[in-house]
Amino acid sequence: MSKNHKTKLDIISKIDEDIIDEVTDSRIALSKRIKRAGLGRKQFIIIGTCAASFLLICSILLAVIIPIIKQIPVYRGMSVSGSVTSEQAANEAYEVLSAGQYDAIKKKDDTTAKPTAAPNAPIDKYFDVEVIEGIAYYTKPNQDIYISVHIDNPKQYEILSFTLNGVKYQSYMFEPGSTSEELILKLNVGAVEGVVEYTIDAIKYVDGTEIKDVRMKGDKTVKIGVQTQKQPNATLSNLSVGDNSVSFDASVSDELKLIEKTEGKLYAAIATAAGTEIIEKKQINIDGTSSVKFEGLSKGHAYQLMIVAYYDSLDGKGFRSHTLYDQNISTNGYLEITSVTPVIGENLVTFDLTTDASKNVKVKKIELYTADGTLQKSIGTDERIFEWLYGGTYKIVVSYTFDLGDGKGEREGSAISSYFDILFSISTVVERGESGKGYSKTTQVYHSATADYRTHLGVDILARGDDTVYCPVNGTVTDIFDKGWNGGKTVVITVSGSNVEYHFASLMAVSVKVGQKLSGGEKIGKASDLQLQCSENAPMVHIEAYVDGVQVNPITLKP
Amino acid sequence: MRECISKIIFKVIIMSETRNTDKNQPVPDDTIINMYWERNETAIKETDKKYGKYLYTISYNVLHDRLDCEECINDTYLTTWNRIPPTRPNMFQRFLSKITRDISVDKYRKTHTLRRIPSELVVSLDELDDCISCMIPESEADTVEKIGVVLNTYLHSITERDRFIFVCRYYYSDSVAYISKMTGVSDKTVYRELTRIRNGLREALLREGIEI
Repeated sequence: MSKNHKTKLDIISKIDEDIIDEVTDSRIALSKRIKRAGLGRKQFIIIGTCAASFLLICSILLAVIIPIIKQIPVYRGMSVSGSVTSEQAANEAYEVLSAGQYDAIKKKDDTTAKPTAAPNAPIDKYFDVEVIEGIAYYTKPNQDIYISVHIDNPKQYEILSFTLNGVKYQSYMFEPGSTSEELILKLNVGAVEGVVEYTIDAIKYVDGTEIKDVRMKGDKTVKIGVQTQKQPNATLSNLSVGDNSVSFDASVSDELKLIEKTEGKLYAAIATAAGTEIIEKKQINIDGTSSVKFEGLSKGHAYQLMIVAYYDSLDGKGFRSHTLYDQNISTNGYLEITSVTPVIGENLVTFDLTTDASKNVKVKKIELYTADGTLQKSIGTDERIFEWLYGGTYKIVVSYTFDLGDGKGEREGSAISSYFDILFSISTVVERGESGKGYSKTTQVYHSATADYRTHLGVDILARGDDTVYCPVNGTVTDIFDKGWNGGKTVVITVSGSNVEYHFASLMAVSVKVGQKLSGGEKIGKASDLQLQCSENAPMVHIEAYVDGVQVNPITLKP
Repeated sequence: MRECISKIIFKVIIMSETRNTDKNQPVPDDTIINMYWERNETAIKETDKKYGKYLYTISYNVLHDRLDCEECINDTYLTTWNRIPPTRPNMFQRFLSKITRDISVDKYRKTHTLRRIPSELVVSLDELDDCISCMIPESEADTVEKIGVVLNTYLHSITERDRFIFVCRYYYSDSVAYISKMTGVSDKTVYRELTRIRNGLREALLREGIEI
C-alpha cells in the first residue's frame, strides 16, 4: 500500500463513531431494500416467465381446443366420380371408380366394364421401377365429372362457397344432393387432355353473422387423367451397327409430358432377338436427345433395340411399361434375311437368305415370332415361306453357324428381319364365309335392311346358319358391347404389339371376355341373324378396323 | 427544491426500512447475542447465516480477493466471540460491519500488494487526491489529526444524505453503482455529488489554513 493511501486511510479512520453508526444503520436498511428489490425483480422475472409460458400454452391449447369445442368445419379432401343422378347423390349411392377403368368413369351399378389389372410385361422384371400411384381418377375429354368436397361439419354450418383452380363456386352452384358435409360440384373437363389438376383454395362458411374459413387439413389437389391419344413416341437416328456394338441417338417426344407428370422413367435397352430378355439397359433423358451405345455384343447376332417408358398413359390401366420404339438389328455377320414379302389376302410371307459363302455358313433354324416375342412357327432350313398366318405383326429370326477357318471351329450367329404385317383374310373369320358389302368411305351403297343408300365403313362376311366366328388375328379382347344399330354384340380385339383395333359386330353367343388373350383361330362367338341395317341377308359378321383411333379399311388397313 | 425533496425521500426510506428491519429477521439479534453470552457456539453459525453475505461485501470492497475476505470474515466472528460478553451491542449488524471493515483495512495495510484489479478501496482513496494532500511530512504528524477534526466538523455540517454518500464511498468503499442503487439516483448523479462534497471539504480545509 502506498504511503498516500495509508495517510488517507488514517484520515478516514478519524471519522466520528456516531457518524459511522448513523451511516451504518442507514446502509444496512438500504442494503436490505436493495436485496428485497433484487429478490422482487427476480420474483417478477420468474412470475413473468411463468405467466408468459402459461399464456403461451393456453393460446396453443385454445387454438386446438376451441375448434374442437366450437367444432369448426374441417376440410378432409376431395374425390371424383362420374355421372350421378340427384337421387343417387341424395342416397350416397355413387362411388368413385379409380385406376383400372378403361372407359369413362362409370356408375356403381355398371357391370359391363370391370377394372382390369395393369398387365405386367415380360420385360418388367429387368427394370426395377417403383410403381407410382399418382393418378386416381380417369376420364375422357369433354366429360362431365363430379367433384365431391368432404368436410367434417358436426355443427352443420352452412357452407357458402369454395374456390377451385381460382374460380369461386357459390352454394347455389352445388349439385342437388349436396349436404353441409359433402359438396358436389359438376364440372366438364373440357377438351384438355393429359394430367389435369384441381386445387381447392378456400372454403367459406357462415357462423352467425360472420363469414369464416373452413380449416384445411386434407389434400388440396386432386389429379385426373384425361384420356389422350397424344402418347409419347420415340425415334432412333444415326444408327450405327458394328461387329460388337451398336450406337444411336434416341429422341422422345412427349407433347403432354405424361412421363414427367406421372413421375415415369425412360430407358434405352437392347434385348435378345425375341425381345423378351433384356441384355442391357440405360436410363435416358425424358426431354431432348440421348446418345446411347451398347458394347460387348456378339458378332453376327440378332438383337432388338427398344425404347421403354414407364408411365401412366391415362388409359385407366395405371402406371406400367410401354415400348415406345423397337427395332431389330443384327451385328455384322455372315447371313442376311432379304426380300421379306407379305402377300395381302394370302396370309403368307416369302423371304430370301444371303450368306457369305467363304465363311461356310450353315442355317440351323428359321423361326417366325410375333411382335411381342411369341414363337409362332418354324420351318425347314431350305424353306423360304411362312403360310397360313393370322393377322398380326411378325419378324423372322434365323440361327446359323459359320467357320472363319481360323482353327477355332464353328461359331454361332443369328439374323433378324424387320417387322412386317400380315392382314387377315375373310376365310379365317368365318369358315364358310363369303364376301358381303365391302368398305366404302365415300361412295354410298344400298342397304337392303334400311332400304336406303349410305356409306359402309366396314366389311361384311356372310355366313350360314349359326356359323362360328373365329379370331383372325393374334390379339387381346379390349371391349364387348351392344351395338344397337346393327343388332347383336360387338367384340373389339386389339392386335398384339400394334395399334390396330378390329371390331367384330353382329355377333351372338359371345364366348370371350374382356382382357382375354386370343391367338388366331380361336372362337369368339357366332354370326347373328338379327340384322337391322347392313343387309337383309343374315346371318353375317360386320367388321370394322381402326388404326390409332382412325377408321380404316379392315382388309388393307388404309383409310 | 429538488434537493429538499430528495432529502425528504431519503429520510422516509431510511425510517421505513428501519421499521421493517425487525419483521424480516429470521432469528432475532437478541437471541443470537444471548447465545454468545451463553457461550453457545451455535451463535457463530447463526451470525454467519444471517450476516455472512453482507459482511463479505464489505470486506470485498476493500480486499477484492475471495480467500482474504473469507479470512477476514472468520476473524470478524472470532473478534465478536471475544467481545461478547462483556459487550451487549444494541445494533448487532452495525457492530459486525465496523469490525469487518476495520479487519479488512488492516489486512489491506499489511499485505499492501498491488492487485491486477484495484479494489474499490484504492479507487475511492485515489478520488480524495483533490481534497486531501498526499504529501504530509512526518514532522507534521498531527496534521492528520487536524484534518480529521476538520473532516468531522464538515461532515456534521452537511446533510444526512451527503454524509451517507461520503461515508459509504470512502469508509465502506462501496462502489458508485451500489451507492446509486441505495440512494435511488443515477451513477452520474452520485459522481457529481461526491465531487461537490469533496470540493466542500477542500474549502473547509483551506479555511482552516491546511495547505493541500
